[in-house]
Amino acid sequence: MHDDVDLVERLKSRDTAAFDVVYDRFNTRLYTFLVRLSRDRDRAQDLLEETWLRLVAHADRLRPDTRLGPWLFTVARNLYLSDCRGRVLEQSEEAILSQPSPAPSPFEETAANESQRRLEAALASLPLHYREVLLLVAVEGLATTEAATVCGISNDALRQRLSRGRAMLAERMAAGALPQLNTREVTS
Amino acid sequence: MTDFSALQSTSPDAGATDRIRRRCHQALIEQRRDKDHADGWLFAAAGLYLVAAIAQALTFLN
Repeated sequence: MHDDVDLVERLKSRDTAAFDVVYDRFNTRLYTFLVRLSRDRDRAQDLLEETWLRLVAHADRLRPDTRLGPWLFTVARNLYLSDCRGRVLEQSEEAILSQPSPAPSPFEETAANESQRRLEAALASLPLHYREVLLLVAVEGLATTEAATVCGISNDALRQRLSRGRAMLAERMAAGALPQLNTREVTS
Repeated sequence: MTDFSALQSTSPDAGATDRIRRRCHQALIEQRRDKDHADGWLFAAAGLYLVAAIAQALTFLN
């Protein structure tokens, strides 16, 4: 098992084998995260590629104590927000984060059963700032401190969003209804 | 409490996975080559400086 300190050291030396270890460990997780954020597989793929290229470009500037998972999720999340800003220039980050989702998740089509489909639908319907913390903590298993770093917020704010997000998700699953669509939502 | 463990994960298609890996490998190899190149010039410059310093010291001693 390679630990992050060893992998970071080897990445700084441009070791392609170390890159492969990191790539195999995080590629599916990052892609899944990006698909659930963007609800668009093609867009997620472009963002995924950019995320990995950023790692390679910044490899020599990684701090020895860098935690690669949170680092990669931070880059992926920020690239997604930048992409949203590029698409709708007049929207602030806060506006993008707080808007409800207008589009179904690609995962709804492939859900194995009704309860899974309802969970995917409810998750996809959450405003981005609740969806991202749930994805990072509940789905990806990041520690709350790591997720707070990824989202650029305090631990207290993270815990509040997580709590509110869980409650909103439960309400929406129970209601089995999607929220009203917001036509200004940033989507592909 | 909502159970998230049943949620599916998904991978990019195999072609994209390979393409991204290849691009990153290529970038890493180019960076390493550039660094080796820069290190080579640095080493050569340091050697030249050392030779010049020795020559100057010998001139002074003579």
